Amino acid sequence: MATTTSPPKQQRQRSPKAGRGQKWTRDPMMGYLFTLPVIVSLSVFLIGPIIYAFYLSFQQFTFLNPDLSQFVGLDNYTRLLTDERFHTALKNTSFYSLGVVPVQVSLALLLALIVNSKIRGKTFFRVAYFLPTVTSTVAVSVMFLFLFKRDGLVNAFLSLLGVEGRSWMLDVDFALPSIMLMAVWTTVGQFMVIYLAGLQDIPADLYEAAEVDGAGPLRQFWHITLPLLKPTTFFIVVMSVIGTFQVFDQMYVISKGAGGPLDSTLTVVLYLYNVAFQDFEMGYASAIAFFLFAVILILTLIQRNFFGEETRM
Amino acid sequence: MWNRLLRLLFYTVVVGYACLTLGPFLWSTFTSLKATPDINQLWVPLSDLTFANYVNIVFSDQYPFARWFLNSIVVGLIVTVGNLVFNSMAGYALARIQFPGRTLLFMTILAVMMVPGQVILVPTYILLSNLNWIDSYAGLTVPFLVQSFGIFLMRQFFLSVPRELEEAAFLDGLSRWGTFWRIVMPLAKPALAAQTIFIFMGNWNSFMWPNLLTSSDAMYTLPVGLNTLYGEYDAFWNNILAGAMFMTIPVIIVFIIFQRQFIKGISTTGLK
Amino acid sequence: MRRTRVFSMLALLCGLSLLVTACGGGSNVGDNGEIRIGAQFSSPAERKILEEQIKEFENENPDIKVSIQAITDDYLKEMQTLIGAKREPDVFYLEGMPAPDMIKLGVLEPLNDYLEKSGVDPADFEDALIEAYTEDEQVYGLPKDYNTLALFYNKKMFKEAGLEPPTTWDELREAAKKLSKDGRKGLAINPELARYQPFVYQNGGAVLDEDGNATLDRKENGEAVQFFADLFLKDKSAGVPNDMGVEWAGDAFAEEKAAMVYEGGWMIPFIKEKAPDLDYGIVELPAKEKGAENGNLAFTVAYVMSKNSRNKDASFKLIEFLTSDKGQQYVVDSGLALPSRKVMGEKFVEQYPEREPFVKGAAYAQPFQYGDYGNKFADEASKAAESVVLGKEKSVANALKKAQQNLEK
Repeated sequence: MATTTSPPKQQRQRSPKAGRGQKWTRDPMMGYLFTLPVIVSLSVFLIGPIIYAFYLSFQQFTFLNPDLSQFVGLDNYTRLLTDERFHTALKNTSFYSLGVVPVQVSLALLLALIVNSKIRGKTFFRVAYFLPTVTSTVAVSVMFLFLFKRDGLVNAFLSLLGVEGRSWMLDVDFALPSIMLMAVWTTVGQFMVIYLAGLQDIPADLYEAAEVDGAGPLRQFWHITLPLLKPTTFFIVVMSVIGTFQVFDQMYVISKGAGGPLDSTLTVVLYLYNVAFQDFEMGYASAIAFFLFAVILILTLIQRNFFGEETRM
Repeated sequence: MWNRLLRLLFYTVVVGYACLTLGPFLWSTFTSLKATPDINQLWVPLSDLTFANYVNIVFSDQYPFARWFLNSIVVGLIVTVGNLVFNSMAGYALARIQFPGRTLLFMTILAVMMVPGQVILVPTYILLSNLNWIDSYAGLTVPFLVQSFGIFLMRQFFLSVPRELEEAAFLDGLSRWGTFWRIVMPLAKPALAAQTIFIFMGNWNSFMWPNLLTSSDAMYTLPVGLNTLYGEYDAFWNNILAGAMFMTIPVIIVFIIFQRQFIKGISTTGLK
Repeated sequence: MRRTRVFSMLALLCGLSLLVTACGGGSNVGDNGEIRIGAQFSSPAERKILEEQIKEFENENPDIKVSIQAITDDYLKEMQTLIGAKREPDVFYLEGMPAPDMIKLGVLEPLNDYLEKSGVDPADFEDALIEAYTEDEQVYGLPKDYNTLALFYNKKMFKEAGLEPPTTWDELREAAKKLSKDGRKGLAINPELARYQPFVYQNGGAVLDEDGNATLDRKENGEAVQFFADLFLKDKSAGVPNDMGVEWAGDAFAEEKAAMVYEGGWMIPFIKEKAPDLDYGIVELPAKEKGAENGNLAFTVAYVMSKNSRNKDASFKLIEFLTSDKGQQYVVDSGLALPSRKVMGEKFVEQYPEREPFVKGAAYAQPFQYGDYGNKFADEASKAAESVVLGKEKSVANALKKAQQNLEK
C-alpha cells in the first residue's frame, strides 16, 4: 500500500554499520515497548475479532440465545450464491464504485491543479473545496435529502429549465445515482488535498527545463505531472475503491436503514448490517464480510499490477 | 484574445465549483433559521428568520442534544490523544529501531488496513457486550485508540527526518524514551497536525460504530443523534438542519484554523 | 538511566491497563427495588402518558423505583442488541409482529403464574390482542393498547367537490379521482402490506391460511392489489408519500397535498402539532360493496418482561398496573390509542365519539402479525405491491407469486 519511491538513505539497513550506529538501531526491548500499545490493541480489537469472525462464518450463530448455535460448515458461503438480495446488493455496490471512482479521481486532480495554480484567493478555494469532506456523512445526507426533495431547491431550479422534478433521493431509479453524486461531492476534497501534496513535491526545475524545450502546458502535464503523480494516483484509486465498496452511512440514513425503495440503495455493507442486527444471523453476516474482504483484496492486487513496479513498498 | 477567453473559462470553473460546494451549506443554514410553517417556502424575508430552532434543539426536553455534543467532544478528544501518542510511538519504532518481528508487525499493520471494518462488526459487538462496554465511553473510545493509517503516516514522516539530532541527544546521555519525547516529537508537529485533523474529524463524523455501540440516547454521539432526529422529526426540516449545522460548524472552524499545517503536514509525511 | 527506563515502562503499562479497565459500562438489569422500562415514543404526548402512569404507580408502591429507557432508533434492532448484550430493561414494549420470534428464542418471561397469583384475567382483554402474545396456552405479554386504521378526509376539499366520505371501493375511486387536481392527490398511501392488507380481506382474500402458512398468491389477493395499484397507475389519483415530497402519508395530509389517508390514531396528535387549523373527519374504511364484510388491521403493543430481570415480582406489578383499568384510563384520556381492555373500549367511545371508527374497525381487524415469518413477511409482501406501483413489475400475479416463493424458501 505504501507508495514511496524511497531514496537509498531511507531503505532498511540490511547491514547495519558497526559500532555506534548498530547499538543505536538494535534495541529489541525498546522496540517492543514502543509498539506495545499497538500490538495489544491490534490483537484485542482487530486480529482477535477477525479470527473470531472467521470462526463465526462457519456457524449458524444465534446471538440472542447462543446455546442454539451450531456448526454448519460452508453453508453460509454457499448461501451467498443463491441469495437474491445479496446479489442485488453486490450489483448496486459495483455500480456505485464504477460510477464514483473515475469521477472522483479525475475531479480531484482537476481541482488540485486549480488550487495549485497562481490564482487569487487560493486559500479560500482550498477551504471551500475541502469543506464537504470535513462534514459528517449524516449531516450531508440530510442536507441533500432536503435539497433534492420533491419541492426542494434542486427541483425549483430544474423547473426553470423545464425538467420535471421528482423525489430524487427516494426514487427507485434515481436514488442510487443521486447518492453517487452526493458521494463525489463529499469525498473529492479529501483526494484533492492528497493530490495537492503530490503536486507540491514535483520539483519546479523540471517544468522550467520543459519550458526551455518549448513544451506547452498540456505536454508538460502529460509528460511530467501525470507520470510523477502515478504513485499518488495509485494511492487515491485504491483508497477510493475501498471506500466505495464499504459505503454504508449514506444509504443507511437516506433509506432509513432499509435500502429501499425496492432494494435500489441496498449495498453490501448495509445488507450485512441488517442480516447481523435485524435478523441476527451473525454467522451469515460474517460470511458476507469475508466475501467483501476478498473482493477488496483482489481489486487492490489488480490495481497494484496495473500501476506497476514503482508502487511496491 | 484566446488567453482572455481561457482565463474567463478557468475562473468560471473555479468559482462555479465553489458555489457548488458552498451552496448546500448556505441553503441549509438558511432553512435552519426558518419558522416551521415556512419550511417549504423557497424564499422568506430575512427579517422572518429566527434562531428558535437552535434554541429548540439545544434545550429540548425530548432528546438530550447538548449531551450528544458533549459525548462527541469527549470521545473525540480521548481518541485523538490516544492515537497521537500510540501511533507516533509505533511509527517511530518501525522507522528507527530494529527488533525481531519488526517487518512482520509492519506487514500486519498494512494488511489490517485492507480489512473492511465491517468484518469485525459482529465479533467486536460480542466482545464489548461481554466486557459490559456497550453504551459506555470505554466502548466508544478504547477500541479506536490505534489506527493503522496513523501509524503508517508517522512512520513515513520519521523516515524522512534526519537522524543527526537524535544521535546527538543520545551521545549527550538522553535515553531513547527521553529523546523521543523531547527531541523527536516536537519535530513532528506538521505530521501531528495532519493526524489530528484526520483522526478528530473521522471520529467526530463516524456513524456506523457509535450507532452500533450505543443504545440509550444519553450515550449517542452527534451523528447518531442526528440520524434519530431525522427518523423522528422528518417533517420538521428546520430542526433537523439546525442539528446538521450544529455538527458542521465546529469542524469547519477547526479545519480553517489548522488548514495550513494540515496541507504542509500531508506533503511532508511523504503520503504520495 | 536504566532506572528511568524501567520506571517509564512501568508507568506506561499502568496507564495502559488503566485505559483498558477504566470506565466500564453502566449497571445491568435492575438492582433491588429498581426496574427499568424500555419504550419508544411516537410523540411527546405518548411519553407524558407513561411518565404520569409511572408517577401514580410509584405512589402506590413506594418501595419500587421505575426509570424509563427511551429508545429512539430502530426499536426492534436496538432491543435485540440489548438482549444480546444482556442489558435489556426489565419490562419493555413489544409489537405483535416480532412477538412469536421472541417467544421462541426464550428471552421473555412466561406470565401465567403471575396472572394466577394476582388474579388478572387475560379474558378481560380484546381476544385478538391477547392471542398475539400467547403460545401454547402460555401468556407472554399484556397488551397495553392498540390502533386500527380509519379513513381521514379533508372536510374542506370534500365540500368543495360536493362529495360525501366514501363507504365503498367505487365511491373511494370516484372521490379520489375527483379530488386529484392542481398537483394534489386524492389519496396518499404507501404501497405496503400495512396499508393494502385491508383491501385484501375486504375482497375475501387472505395472506395466511389457518395453519399460518403464507398464501400471498391467491386470486382474491391479486384482485385487491390490482384495484389498489390501479388507483396509482390508471387513475393517477393515489400517490406514494415520498414521491409527493413528504416523508409519510400523514404529512401529505397535514400539508394538504392529499385529501384522504388510511392512518391510525397517531395522526391526531401529529395534525395538532403540524397543522392545527386543519378541518378533517374520520370514517371507517370503505368496504368493497354496501353491506360487504369489511377488513382492517390491528397494530398492538404489549408490555413483556425480560427473562433476565432480577426483579420479576416488581416488574409484573408494573405490567399489571399499566394494563389495569386505572392504568388504561390514562390512555383513554389522551385519545392516542385504543385501550386494550374490553370494558375500557366503551368508555373511550363515550369520551371521543368522533373516534368511534377506530373501535368499530377493531371488530373486523386482523392483527398485524405473521407468525414465524415475522418482519420478512411484511418486507416481501410490501415489495410485491411496491414493485407494481413503481412500474418495475407489470403483472400483479407475478409480483405476488415471487414474494410467495421467497417466503417458502
